[in-house]
Amino acid sequence: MQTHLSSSRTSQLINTLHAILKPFLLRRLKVDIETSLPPKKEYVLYAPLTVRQREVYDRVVTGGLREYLMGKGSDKAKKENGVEAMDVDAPRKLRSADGGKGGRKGKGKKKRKRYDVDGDDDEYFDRLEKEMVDGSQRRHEEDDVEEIGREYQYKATRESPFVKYIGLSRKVIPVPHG
Amino acid sequence: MGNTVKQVNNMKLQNTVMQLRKVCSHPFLFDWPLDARTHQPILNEELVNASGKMMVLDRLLCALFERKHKVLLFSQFTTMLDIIEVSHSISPSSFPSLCLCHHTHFCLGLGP
Repeated sequence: MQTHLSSSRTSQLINTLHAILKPFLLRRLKVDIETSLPPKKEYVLYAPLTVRQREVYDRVVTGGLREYLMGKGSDKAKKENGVEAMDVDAPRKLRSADGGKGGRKGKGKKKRKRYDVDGDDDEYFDRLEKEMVDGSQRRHEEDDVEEIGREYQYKATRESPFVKYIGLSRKVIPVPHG
Repeated sequence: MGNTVKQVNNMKLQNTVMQLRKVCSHPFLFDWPLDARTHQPILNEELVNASGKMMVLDRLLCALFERKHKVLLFSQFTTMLDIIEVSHSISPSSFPSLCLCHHTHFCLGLGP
């Protein structure tokens, strides 16, 4: 049973309400009391997703999460060898020609999701180190909106100033000593 | 295999936004892979390297501790707190830390 009031009427009502409640209500806000702490500073930092996170993320968005998680379970059970050694090349393999989805349950997607939209990353980094990279070089992709959007997103996270500042690379980051 | 199926079936995966929040934090929040030999949850650098957030956190903590700051970490995901606690304890340059979470006994948490 709501009625719509004009904003002036609303604020009038609110003021009346406050006036009535004032002698009965005690309210303390942190700004009134807190004098010893320096002012609060809030920073929002953006973190890129790893390949693994990206996979799960895509599955959540498309709705195949449960199958994917089950698929991972059966893959693990089939592994005969001992400790799953840290495969540093895993990200490279995932970005390989077959799009990295071959081994999984494979829901028969029409469009293969590719993460190497800018070409092979490892090649790129090699060339970057040797200073052979030409900024104007771009691979021509199909004029697919989805692809373009993903390209942009991928580049934005990879080349964001914050990522560069903290020196995050694809490589394993060893925990520094001392 | 049966264990995973049961585990996955127990998960209610309807709330998409919640699942996305979880995956953005750490993929292990869905399934923390077990070491094939010991069948214990794996505890190594992969903990940090599996998640972009953890890598950023790692960097931040290094920089902050270098500058002699004290750090307070919050999370709504208790598993995430576990992951952070573990990765902190196994790191060679770790500083003393205290974890107050769902395990902590109510009285202990509020003691003088």
